[in-house]
Amino acid sequence: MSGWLALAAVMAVVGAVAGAPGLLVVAGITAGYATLTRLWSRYGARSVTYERQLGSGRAVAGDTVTLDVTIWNRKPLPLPWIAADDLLTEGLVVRERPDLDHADERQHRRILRNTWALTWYERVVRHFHLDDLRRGWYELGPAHLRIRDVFGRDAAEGEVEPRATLTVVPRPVPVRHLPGDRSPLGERRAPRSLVADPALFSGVRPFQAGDSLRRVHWRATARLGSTVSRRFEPARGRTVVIALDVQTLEDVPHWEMSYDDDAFEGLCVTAASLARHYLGDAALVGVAAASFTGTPQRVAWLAPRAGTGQLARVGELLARVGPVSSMPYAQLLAWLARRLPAGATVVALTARDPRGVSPILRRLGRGGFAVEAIRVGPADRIPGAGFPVRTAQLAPNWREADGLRIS
Amino acid sequence: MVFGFPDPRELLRRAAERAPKGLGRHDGRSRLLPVLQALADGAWLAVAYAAAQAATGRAPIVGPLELALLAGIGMAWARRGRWLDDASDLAGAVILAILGGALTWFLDTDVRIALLAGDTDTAFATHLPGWIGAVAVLRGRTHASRDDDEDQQDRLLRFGIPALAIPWLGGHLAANGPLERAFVASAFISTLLFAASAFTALGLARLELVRRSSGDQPRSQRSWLLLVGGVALGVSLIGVPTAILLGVPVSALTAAVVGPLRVLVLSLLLLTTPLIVAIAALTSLLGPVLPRGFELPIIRLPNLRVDPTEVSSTPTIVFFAVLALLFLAELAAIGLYLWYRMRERRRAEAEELAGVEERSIVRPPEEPATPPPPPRRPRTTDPGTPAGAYIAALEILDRDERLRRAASETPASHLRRVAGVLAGPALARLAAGYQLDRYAGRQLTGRERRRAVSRLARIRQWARR
Repeated sequence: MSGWLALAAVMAVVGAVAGAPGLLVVAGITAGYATLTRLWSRYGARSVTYERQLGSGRAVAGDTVTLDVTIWNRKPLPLPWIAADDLLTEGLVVRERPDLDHADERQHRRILRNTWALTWYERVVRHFHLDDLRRGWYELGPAHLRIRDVFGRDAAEGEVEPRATLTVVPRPVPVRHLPGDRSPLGERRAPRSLVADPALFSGVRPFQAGDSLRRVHWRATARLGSTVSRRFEPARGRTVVIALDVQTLEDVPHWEMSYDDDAFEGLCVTAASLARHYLGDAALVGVAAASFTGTPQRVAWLAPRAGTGQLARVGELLARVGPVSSMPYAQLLAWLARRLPAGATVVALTARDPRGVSPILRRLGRGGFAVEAIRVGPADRIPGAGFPVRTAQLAPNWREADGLRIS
Repeated sequence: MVFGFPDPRELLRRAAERAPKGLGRHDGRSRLLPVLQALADGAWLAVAYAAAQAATGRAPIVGPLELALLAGIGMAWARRGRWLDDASDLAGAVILAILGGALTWFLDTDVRIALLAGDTDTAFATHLPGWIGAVAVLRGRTHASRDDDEDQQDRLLRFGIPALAIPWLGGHLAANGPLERAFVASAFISTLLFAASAFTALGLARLELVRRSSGDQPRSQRSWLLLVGGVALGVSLIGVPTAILLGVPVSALTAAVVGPLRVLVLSLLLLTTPLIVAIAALTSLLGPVLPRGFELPIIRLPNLRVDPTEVSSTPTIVFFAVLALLFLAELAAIGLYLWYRMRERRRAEAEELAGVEERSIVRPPEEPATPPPPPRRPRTTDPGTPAGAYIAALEILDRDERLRRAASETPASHLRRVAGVLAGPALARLAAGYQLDRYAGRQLTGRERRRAVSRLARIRQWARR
């Protein structure tokens, strides 16, 4: 633009020397054009705020979450055109923008593009709705802001880095046993125990008469100014790990990126439902899957724990797993054997014929683990597995099921 | 539902379905854009034409509107939907260019007289710049594709504005006196018209480009249009006083302002004509029905010459009053129609954006003014003061790497490090005085000052050894 101003100055000088007023007019127009353009390129991007606000950072599959996008021009200079290209993870359905463009520079991203013309100090809030959310972990951002001057020329641009995340967990449904099925899932245990496990420290409580002096937490006593005793978790006899088989097609190598989407979603809903069922039964529940979850780790692993927070953690892990396997399922089961305490229950949850992994499951059984296989699909009998095989059904489908029928 | 690698052809098909369908859209903006483009082209060529006329010693005959019309014809031919083969295109363009050039050339009275007299040599030698009309047609033909609108306007502004200097300079050098005044009047109006229409066309072209890439958003466009229109208006408003200052004839300016108004008034009168004719016909039909002796009054058309002695007859006054009422009624009808359209459009926009967008003017809260830092006491390096003496001692110690005080060291930590090397408490006392002065803000007594000087002298002495 300085070139334009120099040219305008030259024209003005020539016009004055030659006595040509028209040249002065042309010089004035040139200078005006350059000045106006410079105005927006220099000050356009200043004091502009772009924010996105999710109604909730966590949701259950099928929910609708609101998304508010706010742009605020916090200065007196109006912005004739400002655009924000916000990157969204693929899979999000924006009710107000059914067709979102693909992002060129990032894979699996789409662009939520908004343009505004803002007057001085104007703030605009646009309300969007993320409809029919599918299980997954979604990221919103970064946003790329572009500002154009009054002639439509690109004047300034910038990046809005803060991102928002949305975790959509699978919808757990109640687990229902068929009438006459008296065998509960896994191993039943007493919800409370008189015996505490000294390895499971869970906090402190006020000292009570009869407490052993060995249980007094002296450091906490000194800090709090009153005597407190250590508190331990009750000794637990039930640890359940759901080993999720992310492969959904029979006779397909684990590295092949083909999958049955409905079967995989059904697996996730079943895993979430079972986890809720076990946690309600006061068991320690963990989840393992041979899937990448956004980290270099090949196994998605959640150590067994009890408590209400564990269900949320299970949901988060299930939200992140994908249908592409990182290792064969048998290898995952072998990996589990090195991780689990003896006596834990391994629930092999699969959509395929579990007889394909019967050798490793039998070996786990011989190694002291309780093994149970649950196949998600039709309630056919699977003879010759060598271990109990149940079937789980989500009727009519994983989207609309109101219960998980175990037979 | 089984998923695998997506078929590339399917991806392409989906992309094609999602592609914006803006090319076939016809709204007010898409109609206005080619008009403005033609105006910009015509206005630029009008400046060149005026300069060429000045060079031939004649006043300009053709203005920007005529050349814009020819550019528009060329554009319409280039964007036609029929006879799309190359031969038809070339033949049509050549024919239109020749016709346009000839028409512009023929506008000169001298040309027509010479042709009527059979003097073709004189006719062809007269009004040669008129053939710029052919250039206007060809220039309009370059706007064949709507996809290039934005590039074309950008180039036109980028190079067109500075390039205007050439015809302006040429015209001034070639003409003087009344001819120069005529040149200035024509070129000035064309320049202003060029600037206003080219800026607006560029804004519209870019807006159209954006709309096609991001979808239609009427509120954004309206603000944009207001801004672009504001710039165009600003150019015009600045142009008027500038013209007066530069000595451009007022008649040229008034012609530019009154011209479009005159066209508007004439159009309204033409629209009124059928009504007047209908009333006249109705009145003539009433004649035979009227009783004998009752004659309709004679209406006299107004005389444009002002004659104070002439008194207008009552029927004439009534006639023109009716005419004025009709005229006002037409204006009111047009205003009502525009208001209704605008209201409908606003309603549609409000419905479209209901619950989607909230706009508000919010001034950001004033940032709490940070209290100014307390004025710093001037740092003295005068070795006659305790602080200055300490700094001077540090400068002496800087010469030895072992004794140099690191930037991260406090005076106390520095002292601890060098205590084994330096003999005596001189530096420690100086450091204490420095800290009292700088950090504690204590005013040291005159005796301490004198002691500091003597301690510095001792350190100097030690350093010399």
